[in-house]
Amino acid sequence: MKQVLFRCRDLSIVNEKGERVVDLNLEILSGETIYLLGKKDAGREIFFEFLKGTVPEERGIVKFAERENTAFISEKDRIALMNRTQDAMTVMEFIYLFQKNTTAFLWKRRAFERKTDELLAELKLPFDHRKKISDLSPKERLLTDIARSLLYDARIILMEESFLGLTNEEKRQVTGIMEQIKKDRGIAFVINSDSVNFDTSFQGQCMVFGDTHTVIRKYGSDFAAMQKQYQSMMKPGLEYGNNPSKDAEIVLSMEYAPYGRTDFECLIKAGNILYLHEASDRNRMLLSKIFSGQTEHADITLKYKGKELPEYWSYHKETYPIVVMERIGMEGLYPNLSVSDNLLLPSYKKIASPGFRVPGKRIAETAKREWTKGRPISENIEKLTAREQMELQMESWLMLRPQVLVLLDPFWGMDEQLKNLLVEYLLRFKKMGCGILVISADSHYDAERISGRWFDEHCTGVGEFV
Amino acid sequence: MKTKYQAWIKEYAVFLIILIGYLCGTKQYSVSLFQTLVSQACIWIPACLGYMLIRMSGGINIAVGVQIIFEASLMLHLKLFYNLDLWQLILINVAAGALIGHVFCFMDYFLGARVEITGIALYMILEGLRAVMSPLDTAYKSHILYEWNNSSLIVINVVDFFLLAAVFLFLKYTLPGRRIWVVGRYEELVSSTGANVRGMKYPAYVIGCILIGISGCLLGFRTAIPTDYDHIAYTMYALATLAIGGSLNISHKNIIQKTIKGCLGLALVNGINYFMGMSAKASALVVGFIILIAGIMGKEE
Repeated sequence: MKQVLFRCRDLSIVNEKGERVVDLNLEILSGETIYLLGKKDAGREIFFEFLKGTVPEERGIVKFAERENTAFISEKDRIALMNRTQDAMTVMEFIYLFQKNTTAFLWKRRAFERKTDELLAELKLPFDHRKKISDLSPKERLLTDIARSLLYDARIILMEESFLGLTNEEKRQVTGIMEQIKKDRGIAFVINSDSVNFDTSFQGQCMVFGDTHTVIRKYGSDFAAMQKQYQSMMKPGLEYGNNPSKDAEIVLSMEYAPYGRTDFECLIKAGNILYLHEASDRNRMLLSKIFSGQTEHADITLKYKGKELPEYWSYHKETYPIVVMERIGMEGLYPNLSVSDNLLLPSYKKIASPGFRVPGKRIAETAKREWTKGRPISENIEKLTAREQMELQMESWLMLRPQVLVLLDPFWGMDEQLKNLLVEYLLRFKKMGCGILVISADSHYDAERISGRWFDEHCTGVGEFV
Repeated sequence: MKTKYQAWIKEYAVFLIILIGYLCGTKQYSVSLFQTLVSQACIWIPACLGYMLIRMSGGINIAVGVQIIFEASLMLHLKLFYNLDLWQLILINVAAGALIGHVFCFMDYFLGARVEITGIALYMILEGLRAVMSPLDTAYKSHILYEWNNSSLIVINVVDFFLLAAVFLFLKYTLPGRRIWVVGRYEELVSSTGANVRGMKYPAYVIGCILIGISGCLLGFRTAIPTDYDHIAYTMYALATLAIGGSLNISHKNIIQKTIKGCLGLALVNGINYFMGMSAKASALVVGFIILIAGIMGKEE
């Protein structure tokens, strides 16, 4: 007879960001594994936080068999710990010093060592308590974390993205050990993950969180069916985020996308950021070309503020305030021109007209002085740092004050500082009422970071990739 | 080989210099210097140990000097106006230290990021209290000090020895003691496991503040009544001790040894300054430079 470790009925949880879970019914039995899958902002994350105990429930009936015996294992924390190699903490110290609830007062070294060795043997780890924590492999680290949870008799073990960095073989070994622990000790695992790449031999039930903020699927042990369903649900597409501002003006719209989706409509609203997630390189490039007016497609209509754009609009005599950036940094600049000219060139079309002369040197210098604000910046474009190159490109397009900005894979191959800088510039574009479309196959990490920064009640178009 | 000698010198140079000074000087000179050094260092040891504990647990930065002088003044005040016994005075001072530790712990718990500002406010209050107590009659002062000074060096040594041993045992053989540096270094990680971070910092605060209070007691026994500006110097001395001892950055290894080394080193620097005829301000300047250099050279461990 399996023991019920956790039960909730009509559970609703809301956090500060507005993420919510509504009317959730769930039972976690001993010896069971539950996967939480789906979109992060659709309630997966907040439900996991609730299980951790950091978010209270709004309403509903909740019952834990043993609330205090819920352990939490996070990959990020463990990596942060392991990176500090100078501490040279042993496995025994790690297991005992990071314990959750202990009443022990004295440091009984021998007893602790013996107990540690027993736990390590149970988890089939081939070393003893003296092993340095910094010398462990990812698999060993994960199992050491589980050993720490077992020490205080944890009944529910919560794991967050815990299979990162493990090979398939190691995953199989770890899942085998976990199955064994489940059988022996009656422990339940709850795994919070955004991928279905875990091993299929790991039997359990899956809960998938969808757009409507409720759990929409609950599978048994039919893993293959679950995987298929999950993938069809999570296929790439447009993401508008949680709070689209409905009254914002639609600056650019595209109807019917070329890759086999019917009634597809992409609306870019003023002052909003929209993500278009597409895994295929070819499709991404094609989309970018269509938006930039360099190619045409029979079934696609582009409309700027309700009016249809002419064919090959970028070569048309009439100008439109639409900017498409396919390359960012040095490749997006004009290498044969000076810094001042680069700064001004995008605006030439706007400020030069038959009635006036082509802007001279003085206006370019003024623009540069305005931008640099006294910073010494070389006129030679090749001497600029990567940061300055990006600043130059962004400033030049900011001066044009575009209504629509389309970016293709903006964060590809950038370091952390450049990414932050780009995000700041995108916020400036957004602030001036520019509608932004990001076409990307970015890793989950980037999207998460950006949505974290743009996620407020006035902001819309927060993309979330799965 | 070179690095081995370097490490050895770094580790034991302070002790070596004191020993050489003691052995090679003229008899009277070396004995008096030695006594001065030891007595100075002995007063500092508990305070620096307490400060180091609080720093190690990732606690707020405490202005040690204010508390030391407050407690020294409190002791003299109680002796002069209420004529309490010695054990009563010590008990009251320890209680005052524990109270201040609790206050800091609760401030850390409730106020979070704003705690540095409120910490300054608390020190202003302590300093104000001390100022209220300070107008004492010089004759009384000298009388009491004479009375207490007769046998206090040995007493202080014994007290220090027991304190060091107690802290050593606490850090090495108890779980709360071992967790102090863990919570200082991995606060987020510890909190993510669900453990009570504040509860783990609590012993560091309370024990640290009690130790600082005991240091104030010893100061009350040994030296003249502190002036209005001494608390700045004492706070700086505590920092300098950490810098000289090599634990300006949070580190949990050899904390006792580092404290003794730092205290002796600081006493040595002060002694040298004194024998070279430097004024107090010039001496402070030297100590300030030592902190600066140690701060620049110290690596994040």
